[in-house]
Amino acid sequence: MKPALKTILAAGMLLFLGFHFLALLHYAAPVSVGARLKAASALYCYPYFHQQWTVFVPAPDRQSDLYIRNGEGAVWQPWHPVTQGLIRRQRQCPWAGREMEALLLTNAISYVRHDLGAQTLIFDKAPDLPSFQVMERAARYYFRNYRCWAEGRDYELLLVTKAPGKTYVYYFKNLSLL
Amino acid sequence: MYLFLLYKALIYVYHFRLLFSAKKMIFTRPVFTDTLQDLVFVLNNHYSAGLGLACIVALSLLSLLGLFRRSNYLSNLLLWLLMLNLSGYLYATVTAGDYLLNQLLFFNIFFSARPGASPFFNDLKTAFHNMALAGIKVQVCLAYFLAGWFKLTDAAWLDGSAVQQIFQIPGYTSAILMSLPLWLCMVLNYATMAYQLLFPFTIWFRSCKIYLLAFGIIQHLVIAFGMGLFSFGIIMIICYILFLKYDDRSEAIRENPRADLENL
Repeated sequence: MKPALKTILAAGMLLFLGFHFLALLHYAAPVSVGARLKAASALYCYPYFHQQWTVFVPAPDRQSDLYIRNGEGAVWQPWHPVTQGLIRRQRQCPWAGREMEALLLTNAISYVRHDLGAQTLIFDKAPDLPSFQVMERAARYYFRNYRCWAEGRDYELLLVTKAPGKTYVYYFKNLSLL
Repeated sequence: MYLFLLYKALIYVYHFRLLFSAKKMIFTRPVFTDTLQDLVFVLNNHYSAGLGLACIVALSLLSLLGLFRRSNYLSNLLLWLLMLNLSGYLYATVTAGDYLLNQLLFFNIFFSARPGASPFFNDLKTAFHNMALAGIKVQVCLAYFLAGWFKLTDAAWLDGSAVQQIFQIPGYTSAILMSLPLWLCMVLNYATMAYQLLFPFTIWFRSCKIYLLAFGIIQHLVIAFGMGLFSFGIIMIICYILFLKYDDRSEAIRENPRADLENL
C-alpha cells in the first residue's frame, strides 16, 4: 500500500474512532452539552451501541419485597415471598444463569416503583402499565413453576418497599389468569 | 470471549422455558421503527420458541467458529447482530456487562483477518485490526470513566456510605459482605471510585498495569460470586484478559507486523 493511502486510511479510522467515542461519551455521560447534540448522539448510539454506566448510582437505599398469594372467595393461601425465593435460588448456584430471574424481577420492581411513585396504593384491578405487566409475568412464572400453583385461580400481589424511616406498600387485588 | 458466549448459549438452553417458551418469564412487546433499528429487534418482534432455538444454535455455531479460529468478517458481523437481538429480547435481564460485550463484539468484527496473497489487502486488514484493538481499549476505559463519573454525582458515593448500603440489600450481598465493618466499606467505596476514575489514565503505564488489573480482577470476582452478578463480573474480567493479551500482542506486532496476521 502506498504511504499516502496508508495515511489517508489511518486518518479515516482515527476520525471514525473519535466520532464513535465522542458520540458514546455524550450519549452515556451524566451531563449533556445540549438537547440537539444529545438527540443526535442517541440516534447514532441506540440501539446498536447502547450502553449505560450508572452502575449502583444512585446507591440503593431501599429494599423491595414482592409477595404473592392465591385463593378464591374467602379462602386464601399465605403470602409467599417471591423476591427472597428468587434470590435464594440464585445464590444456590450463581453460575447457572439464575441471576437473570432475579435481575428481571428486581428491574421490573424498580420500574413499577418509579411509575407509581413513593406512596402507598391499593389497586382493585391490574394497572395498565407495561412495568406492572413485566413484574406480574415474572411473579406468575415464579409461582407457577416453583410453587405448583393450580391454573385458573385468583391471586394478589403485594409490593413492600422499605426506605430509611419510610415504608410504602402497593397492593394489587383481583388478578386472575383467566 | 468465545468460551463465554458458548457458556451463554448453554445457559439459554438450560433456561429455555424461562426465556423462550410460550409461558416464558420475559414480557415482550414488538418495537417496530421501520428503520435500520428493526434489525436489532427481529427476535423481539417476530418471537417464537423456534426462532429462539435457532438463535441459540446460531450463537453456538458462530462461537465455535471463533473459538477454532475459523471466523471471518461475515460470521463476526452475524455474531454481533445476534447478540444485539438477544440483548433486545432479554432487555430486562441484561446488565451493563452485556452491553459492553456487544461493544466488544462490534470491534471483534474487524479482527478476523487471515493473511492473503495480496499485500494491499493484508495492509488493509492490519489497519482494521489495529483500529479494533484501539477501539476495545478505549471502550473499556470509557466504561470505567463513565461509571466513576456517575459516582461523583451521587451523595452516598461521595460520603462513603454507598458500598455499605449496597451490601445491606439482599439481592446484592452475601453473609460475609453484609458483616463487613463500616470502615472497610468506606475504604472499598473510595478505592472503587478512585480506581474507576484513574483507570483510563494509568492503565497505559506498564508499572501501574499489573496492580490495576489485579485489583480489578479481585473486585469483579467479588461482584461475580459475592454479589451474585456472575455474568457482569466475568465479562469485565474478559475485558482485562483482552487488554493484557492484545497489549502483549501489540508489542509483537511492532516488531513483526506480518507475524500477527499469521497468528490470527
